[in-house]
Amino acid sequence: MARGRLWFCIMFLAAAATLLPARVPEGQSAPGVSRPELIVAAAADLVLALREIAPAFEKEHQAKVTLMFGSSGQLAQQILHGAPVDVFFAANESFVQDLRERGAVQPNSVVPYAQGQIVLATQRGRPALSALRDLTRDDVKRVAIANPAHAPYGMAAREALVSAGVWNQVQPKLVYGENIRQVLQFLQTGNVDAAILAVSLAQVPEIQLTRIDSGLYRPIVQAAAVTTRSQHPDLARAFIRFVDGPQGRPIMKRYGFLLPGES
Amino acid sequence: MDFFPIILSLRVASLSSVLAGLFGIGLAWLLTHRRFPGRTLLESVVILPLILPPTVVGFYLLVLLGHSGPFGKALEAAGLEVIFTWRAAVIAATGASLPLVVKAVQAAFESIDPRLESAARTLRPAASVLFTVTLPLAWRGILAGLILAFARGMGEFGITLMLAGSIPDRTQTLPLAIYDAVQSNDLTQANALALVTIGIITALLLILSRLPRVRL
Amino acid sequence: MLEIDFEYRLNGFTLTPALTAERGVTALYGPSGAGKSLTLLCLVGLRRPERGWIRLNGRTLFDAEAGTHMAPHLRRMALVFQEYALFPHMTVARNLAYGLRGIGRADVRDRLDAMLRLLRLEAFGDRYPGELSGGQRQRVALGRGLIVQPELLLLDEPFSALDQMERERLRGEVLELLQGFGGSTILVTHNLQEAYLMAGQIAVIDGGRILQSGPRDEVLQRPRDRRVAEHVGATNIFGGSVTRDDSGSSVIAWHGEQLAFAGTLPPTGSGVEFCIRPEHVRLVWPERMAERANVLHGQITAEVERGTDYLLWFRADGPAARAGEIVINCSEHLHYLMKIQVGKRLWISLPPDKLHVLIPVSAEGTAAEVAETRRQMGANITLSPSSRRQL
Repeated sequence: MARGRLWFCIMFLAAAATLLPARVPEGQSAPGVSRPELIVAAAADLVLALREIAPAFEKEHQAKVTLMFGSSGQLAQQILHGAPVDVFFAANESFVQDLRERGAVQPNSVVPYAQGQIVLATQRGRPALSALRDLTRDDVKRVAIANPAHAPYGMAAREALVSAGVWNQVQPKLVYGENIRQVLQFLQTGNVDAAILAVSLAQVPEIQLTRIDSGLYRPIVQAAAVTTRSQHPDLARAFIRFVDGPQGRPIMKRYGFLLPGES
Repeated sequence: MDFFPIILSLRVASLSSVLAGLFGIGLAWLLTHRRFPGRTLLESVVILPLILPPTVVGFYLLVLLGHSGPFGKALEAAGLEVIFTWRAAVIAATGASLPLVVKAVQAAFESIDPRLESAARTLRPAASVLFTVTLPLAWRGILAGLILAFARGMGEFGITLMLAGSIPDRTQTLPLAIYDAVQSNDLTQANALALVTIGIITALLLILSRLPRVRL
Repeated sequence: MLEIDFEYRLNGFTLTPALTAERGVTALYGPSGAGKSLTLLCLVGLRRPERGWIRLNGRTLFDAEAGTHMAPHLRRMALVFQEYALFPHMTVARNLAYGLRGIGRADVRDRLDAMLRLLRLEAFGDRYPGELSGGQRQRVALGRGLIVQPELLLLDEPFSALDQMERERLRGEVLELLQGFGGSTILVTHNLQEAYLMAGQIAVIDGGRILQSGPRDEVLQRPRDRRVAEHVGATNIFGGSVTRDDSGSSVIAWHGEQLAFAGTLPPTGSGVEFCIRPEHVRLVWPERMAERANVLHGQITAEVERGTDYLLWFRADGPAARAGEIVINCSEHLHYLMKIQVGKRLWISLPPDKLHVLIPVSAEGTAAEVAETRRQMGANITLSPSSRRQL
């Protein structure tokens, strides 16, 4: 009986010991030199592009960039409630406009940085699909798109399917991903036969893709903004400029984004 | 491998187990030993995190504790940062674990013969009876509750995501890191972290199974 | 001395005990659900009554008006349940010493040793309750209460979990232990024999009220009213009226018979309820008939063999047959000598000094309650023949 209590106390103390030092490290880098840190909240479709762009920015500006990805809707909510985000890259300018109206982002920092495009994607090695109409084929059992209720790429996917006149036939086969990254994952793991993806994410070897006529859906204008809570607004603006500038643009283009001023 | 999520989750789970333990034992005692108006209501509120979807719980906590919420404003005025920090992760884990502790401890308290406590009360003050009779006799239930709390705290996802965000090197706990890795198609990282989680919980259960007469 | 008079309500049940208990053992006796254990909880302070007061040796422990409600551990009372109320996670020694606070270690040691010796459990100090027999555990439970030298000891049906042999042995031991105890003791029991054996004073409780309280013989031999009579086993309850016999003395007219009564009767013409205990009804040898008073002739209609004695049901001849059966307690020996059997015709006598007049019961004594207590007493004036055989 006493031994049991002894063990209990030991474990309790061990657990308590993990709390020392009391403050959890914020992940700071080398002591002495404290680099300014930016927290960038970005829509799921930017994961590949921003993970390439950010290190270049870090080097040039001697700053640390922490990337936080999620669905634009959830990120917007969190920013509204005070998330310590400096820059918000949304997958649709409507989210940024909404935040601007509520005073969560600085009005004159709103910049459309890209135009998203959707593509029809299948796994390499499977029969390719040449058009949206092919989704009605019998050998295509499940199709993944992002949730059209709130994800911009999902809304665009639905628009395109409706415009192509195949929405009713394809809708029963649809599987909704919570965000566009999850849609990619469904396809990569073979859980769906086809997917409508953001072109920026589809540049992976195991995926083959077909362009979807951009006339079938309204343009996905993606905008970024600096939050009003940001402690480093100048650095934040610099980041947006970087993405939209000579270093960032080529990378964005490589991932299939249409850029403002082009198209 | 990035160790930050592991350390963070261990700390968050430890702290939240302690907090859920303290509050949980207190609530369980109240629900077992006292009758008062609103008792059933209190029981229902305590169970809520078990029944509601985690994102819903997280959302409402965010509303309350966020900088436009009633508590959030007070916290900001006091200079205390809670949301989107490790503290929010602890709150999320504590809220998720609390019902588990309360239920486990409540069952343990109810299995104690009330006459033991009655006899003890004639000999010692109520507080002393609590510590010398009630708690020792309920220790198995308390331990089970704490273990459940720790495991739940290690695995807390939905509420944490909403309330603390998935900020790498700040609030990205182990489950959030695994999710992020999966979504980024970094399956190596995902598997590694998942194995670590399983390893920690298994080690914990092994250590505890060596305790005499512990049955979970 | 304990004085109480309070009211406590719980889920529609109202408990209103009023009692004065002197030094020595008082049995709180009544059926299940009468409120016995609840009374103990209120005495000890674990429940708070709505009205009234509780005083122990002059100290006010509870007074609703004054707002006094002393904490349980300060009342100088000890509560002893059945054996199971020993703390299973503590040794015998720690159990015993649980209530000893504010005393130096040496004193604790001394008192502990003395108590262990008194309980004859010197070698068991370091054992756990699980290792002890039922009787030993009961002794420890009692010791835990006595060691703190309380002013009031409360025993809540302490023997009901024990078997017959252990129970009797333990009763004797407890009585012995209580010899040295200077305070008052309240013993809660639903066993009338136990109450009589262990206590000098009996308080009969039912329906949340104390129906009668006094020295044990008085309660047993002179129950106040029908309800108490039934509880204490004076089950031969009959009704008659007061009249005068030929010589002018007051007698009870009962179904054509005239019963002499030793004592004062109500005025002539009043209705009267009276009882006689089954053990006081005499079986009369035919040749001794003339010497006895209140003789009735009739026959045995049923009998129950209880191993140590007999219960007989007797129905008188003539108009008195309408009164129902008289229950008689008959020793084994007499049963054999008189060759008693069902159907036997004989004479019985109702000694005038054993008849007892009851105060009429108010409307509170409902038929249901009465029937319930009768069932528990095991003897019934209106038993059917088949149910009698089940006794």
